Amino acid sequence: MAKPKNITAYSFQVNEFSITSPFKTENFFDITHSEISNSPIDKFLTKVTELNRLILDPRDVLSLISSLEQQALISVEIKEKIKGTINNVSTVNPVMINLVLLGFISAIESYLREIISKLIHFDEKSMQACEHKEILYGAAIHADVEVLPETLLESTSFTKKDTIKDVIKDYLGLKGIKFPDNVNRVLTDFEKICHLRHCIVHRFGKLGASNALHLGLGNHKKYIDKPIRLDYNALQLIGVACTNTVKELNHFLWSVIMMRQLADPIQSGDSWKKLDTEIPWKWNFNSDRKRFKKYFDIFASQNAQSKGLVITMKSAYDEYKMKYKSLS
Amino acid sequence: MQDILDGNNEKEFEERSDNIKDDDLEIWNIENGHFQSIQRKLMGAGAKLLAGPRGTGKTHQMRLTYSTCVNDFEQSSKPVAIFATFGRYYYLEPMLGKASNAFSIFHAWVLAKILKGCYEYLAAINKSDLLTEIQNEYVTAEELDDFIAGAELARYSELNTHTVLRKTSISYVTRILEFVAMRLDKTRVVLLLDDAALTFTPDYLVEFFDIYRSLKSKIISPKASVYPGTTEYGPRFHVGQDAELVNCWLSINDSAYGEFMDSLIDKRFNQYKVTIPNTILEIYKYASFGIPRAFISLLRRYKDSTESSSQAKFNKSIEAHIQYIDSEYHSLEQKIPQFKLIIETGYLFFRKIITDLVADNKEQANHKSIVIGIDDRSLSVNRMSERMLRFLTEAGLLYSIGIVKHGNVEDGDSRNYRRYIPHIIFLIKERAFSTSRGFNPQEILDKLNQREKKHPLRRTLQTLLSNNELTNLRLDLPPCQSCRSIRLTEEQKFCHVCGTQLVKPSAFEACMVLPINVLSISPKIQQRLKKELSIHYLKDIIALQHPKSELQSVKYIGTKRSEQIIDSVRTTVDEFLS
Repeated sequence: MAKPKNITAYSFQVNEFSITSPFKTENFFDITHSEISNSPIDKFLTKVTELNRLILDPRDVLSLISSLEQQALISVEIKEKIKGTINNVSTVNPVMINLVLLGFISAIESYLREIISKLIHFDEKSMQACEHKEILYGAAIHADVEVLPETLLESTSFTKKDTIKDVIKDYLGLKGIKFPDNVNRVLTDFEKICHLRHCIVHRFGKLGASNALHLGLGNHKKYIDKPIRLDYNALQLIGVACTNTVKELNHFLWSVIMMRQLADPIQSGDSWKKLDTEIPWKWNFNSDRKRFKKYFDIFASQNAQSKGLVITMKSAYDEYKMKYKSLS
Repeated sequence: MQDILDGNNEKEFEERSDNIKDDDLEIWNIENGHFQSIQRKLMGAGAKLLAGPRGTGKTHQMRLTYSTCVNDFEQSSKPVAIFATFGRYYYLEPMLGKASNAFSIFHAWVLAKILKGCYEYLAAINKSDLLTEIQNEYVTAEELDDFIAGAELARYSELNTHTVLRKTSISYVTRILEFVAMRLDKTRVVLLLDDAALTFTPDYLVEFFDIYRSLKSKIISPKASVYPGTTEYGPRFHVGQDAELVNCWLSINDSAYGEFMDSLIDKRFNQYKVTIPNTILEIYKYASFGIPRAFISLLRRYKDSTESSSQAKFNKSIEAHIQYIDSEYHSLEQKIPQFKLIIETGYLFFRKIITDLVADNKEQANHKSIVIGIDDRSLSVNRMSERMLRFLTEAGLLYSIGIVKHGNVEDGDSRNYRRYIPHIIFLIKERAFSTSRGFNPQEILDKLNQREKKHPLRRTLQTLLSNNELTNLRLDLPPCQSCRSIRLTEEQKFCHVCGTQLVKPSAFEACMVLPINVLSISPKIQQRLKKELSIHYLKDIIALQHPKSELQSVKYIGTKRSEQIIDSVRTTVDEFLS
């Protein structure tokens, strides 16, 4: 048989030529970064703040210009000229808004990973719940002990309400506990936002049929294959829903993790019964301080102080002690 | 209380229907067309909105319907009546800034109040068997009370796992109400939802009327009392389609107005006919501007006056009432500080209308001029002008009488004018109806009885307000608490400069930090409270676990004084936020 002739494929050039782009992913990370010792919720809030600053309401530019004009720093003509160009932009750049939304979700996911792995690292009952879980051999030999719990969550994605609840119950050993109404509601809202995320990530913002199905076909059917169009206010509403998710979860986890060290949940956590085994507290602040601080530091938000809440470890401890005394 | 002429009826001075006992309601019944037609609307089928500013008798009407339905419950034509009041909604307002599920708690609170009203009705008609049966099957009255109190006292963490929150839903409540109707052999349930205006929390207003709309069925007819001028009940609620608007506030230009006011005196204040000159009584009918409560208070002020001449008595009563209206209107600024500038500008706008109408009346020999027409197009220039008009209408300073077209349609020069009658008492005070220099009540009355001139006095927003005043028609929002940047919109949640979450301004919290010297308690007792219990603000008293006994730990405060203090706190909070 004759050697087959080497025939190249049809290759009419229908688009531009590429240019060389040499990169190494290891250069993309910040080696100088060391984790600041803030609580996960405060880190989350800082991220949200940074994301919010990416977006500026066009009306804000208008008020800025007006105030410059009033202070006679620019003339009326210049103000009118600038106004004319800005009025053409009625909304903030929609692509930018979509990217900020992705940022919110990423911030929530990283909050969840961090709080769960920290708890697994030092809370005995959470640790016990994970004893039988498997991790990758590679992670086991290379990662630090502190980062190890995080590898447990490598393949989990936190975009569904039920997954989030299951992971919390499973990894933190909270099987007998029912999630209260407030937490259920924020998670429901969060799941909806995750469907928007799905559209942005996979379809550059257009609504897919299965997302429409999850969001409620009745109301969303007519928007299938139409792009998401969020304005400044809509993004703010989403921002609130995302921060609520973290705030409610943080408060709920704090409450149950602390409570179960004193009592057993009955009626799925509607009520509690004092433990008949030994508890890890001596009820003397000086002796309990070290242990209490561990918990307090990963849940308490310093950020809340600026909003008028006074959160001190001592008052948290005192109320905890009172709670114990009130158990029968 | 002052001596009363016939000496046996102290109840005549009860100006708020909330304070009248059910047994007395029938005595207060007013037999006239206007009143009766409202009763028919409340008793009958269909969803209704009963609109009127404070003091027009909305509560009175609803309570009367309720007591009629209870007393004549054997009559098959009388529906099941459920009375519930939502005046305390503002206790739930801070929750919007503190709980992510504020709406679901509010939702359950509304439904719990309705169920509670249903249980009260069953108790009132002595159907304790049915009541027990329902409580065994559904939520108990204690559970409802506990939830309602928890929501109003902001015990959020307990609420999230509460039975009432978990169980109640529209269909759950509908099921109970329809079951009650069936067992009592009634074809209709009327829900008398009082104080449903929820003016200060538009978010709750929308939620409330969603519930209202969803409860409406062949059997269930919801009726809600609201303020006039509110047109926005949310995107899913359309006045006219979802509910019929019933005006509880009668226009002084209405043909039934005289009859309505007459019947009020006949039934309730007959003895005044001898103490107050007839012309003044007649002027008072106009001066009270369709608000029975104002009428009663004018009569009382005249009678209680220590002045000797009827002119002085009259002038004092008018001035005092104007002062009352003014302070009530301006109290809005404290309640919703973000609208302070708009409310202030609204007052200037109103005073200019008065000045212009006074001048116009001087030019009319055979007519009176009490209607102002405001060019619709001129209002569209400023977004906040609608808000301004709404505040004035809700407070009862302007009475809206609809739109009239003016000008030549074919020329394309036709304009829509919104017509309003301003509160007549201000026109009386500014002597719009007096031509001679002295005090001549007959002359005032004659002018008031003249026909209205054909066309209203026409004005635009810009002719009523100066340029400077117009620039004040804007929101006055608190700056970002962290970087002090000015907020851009009312709805803004995060600061656009530093990115931090903004704190929601709360009328309730503004009320809580009022100092205790606003309470009607003696300065000495105030000093003691500050010194011994370190109570400085209203919130400090509200936060007391056992207010009565804790207050009594202070020297010179016994059972009676502690009750007085608690009462005073309650009235102050209610007045501030209602």
